[in-house]
Amino acid sequence: METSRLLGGFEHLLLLAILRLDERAYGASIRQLLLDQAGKDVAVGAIYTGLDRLERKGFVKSWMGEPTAERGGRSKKFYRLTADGKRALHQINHAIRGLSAGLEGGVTRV
Amino acid sequence: VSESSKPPSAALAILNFFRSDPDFGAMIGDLTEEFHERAESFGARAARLWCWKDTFRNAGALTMREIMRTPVRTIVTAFSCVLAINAVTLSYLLYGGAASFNLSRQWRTLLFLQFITPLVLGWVGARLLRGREWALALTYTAASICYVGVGIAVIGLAMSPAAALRLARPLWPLAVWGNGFRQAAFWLGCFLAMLHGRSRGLFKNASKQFFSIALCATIGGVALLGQAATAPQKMSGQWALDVEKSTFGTPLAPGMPAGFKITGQTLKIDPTEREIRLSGDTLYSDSRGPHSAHDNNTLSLDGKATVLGPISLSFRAVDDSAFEILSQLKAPGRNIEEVSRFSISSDGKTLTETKTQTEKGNPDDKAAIKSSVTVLVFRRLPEQ
Repeated sequence: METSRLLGGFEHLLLLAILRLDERAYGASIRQLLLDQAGKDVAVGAIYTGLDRLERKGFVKSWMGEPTAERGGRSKKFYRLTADGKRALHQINHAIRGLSAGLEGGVTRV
Repeated sequence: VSESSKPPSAALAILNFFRSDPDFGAMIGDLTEEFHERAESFGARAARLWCWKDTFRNAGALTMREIMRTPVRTIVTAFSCVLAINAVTLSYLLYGGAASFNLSRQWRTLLFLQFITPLVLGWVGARLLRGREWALALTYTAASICYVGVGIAVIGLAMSPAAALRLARPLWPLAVWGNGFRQAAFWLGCFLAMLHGRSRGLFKNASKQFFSIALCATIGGVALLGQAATAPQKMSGQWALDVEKSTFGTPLAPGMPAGFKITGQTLKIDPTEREIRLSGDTLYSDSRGPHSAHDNNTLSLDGKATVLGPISLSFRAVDDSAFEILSQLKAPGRNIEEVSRFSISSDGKTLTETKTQTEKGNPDDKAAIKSSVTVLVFRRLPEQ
């Protein structure tokens, strides 16, 4: 793993959420997914802070959608994983699986 | 989309204050979309409550984002501003002369500096960190707290807590007000820079005018309030006569006892904006033994004479290190004029009173019959 581009815990969750949402990943949908699936109620400002960091690391790429009336005429900013992002996600998942191997009992007791 | 399904405009205005680019528009769009969904599912009131709660959460998140965007630059700018403001304050104290500095009279100038300097530095700092004005203001407050903490630690190491408390007690109100002014002014400077950076046209011109006025006010204010360091104010405090360094002429005042000799004197000079009060105790001896006398005179700084029986006294300004007190004694058959010139040394530690007495034959006759010169040298006593 490249140590200069380590993923934080929150960044890891964001990458997973973007991967799961595929082409529908934008601030509100990521926030909703984190709330529903991970039980994390995160302010949308914090999500954009994390996404901005991931984009600067080259793990995600963004583009603007069309403005809509229910968004007050503002566009959605969509995100998708880059090849580097997918690689980083794979590496972190691999590391977690490796470190968790044989600890399932201990982890579930917590 | 109806008005009831729009987020509260005040909440959006607050968020706009904390705006963080480049995705601020998308973020507001997400907030609006979620508000719209919540208003449809749970009602407008619940949606508004959620929106307000989320506004403050987002404000915190956006502030942290701006601080962390360029943390070193933000912290260095904030600390530089803290140091610069303290340097300006220190320069003023040194310029005024630390020995002659009088808190009770110069606090207005100090507070003025505590306002105008942070205001200008807040503006300049915020212009250097465009888009991070809010983060700079917050970091400045944190840096100020650190600075004060270090100051308290240094004082704590240098002296006992009791001594530090005794020393600091008169300064507490000034420290509290001064720091309050500093914080308010710095935040105001950042806020104005932020508005200036985001606005066009009218406000841009208005803010330029504001800062031109602020600059003129700074120069004018320092010039006007700086006059706090006039001669009487430089001499403010208590003084003790150095008999050995003084020279005594023969007093011309009528009724002086035989063998009159001054053995000691304390003098207190207490100027206000319009008056100067001179009080003191004199120890003297004559052929009948030692005596003491107390004097207390208040003179108007505009030169208007104060009449005390047969004597009239008036103040006359000379320059920023000297003034004169003119006195005239009109007694039957006697016409004595006295000019007491008070001048202070450049280090503010020595005061010299040169007293020239002149006796004239009659009020219309300008020719002097007799004259006497006394030079009294005083040294400054420490403030109690």
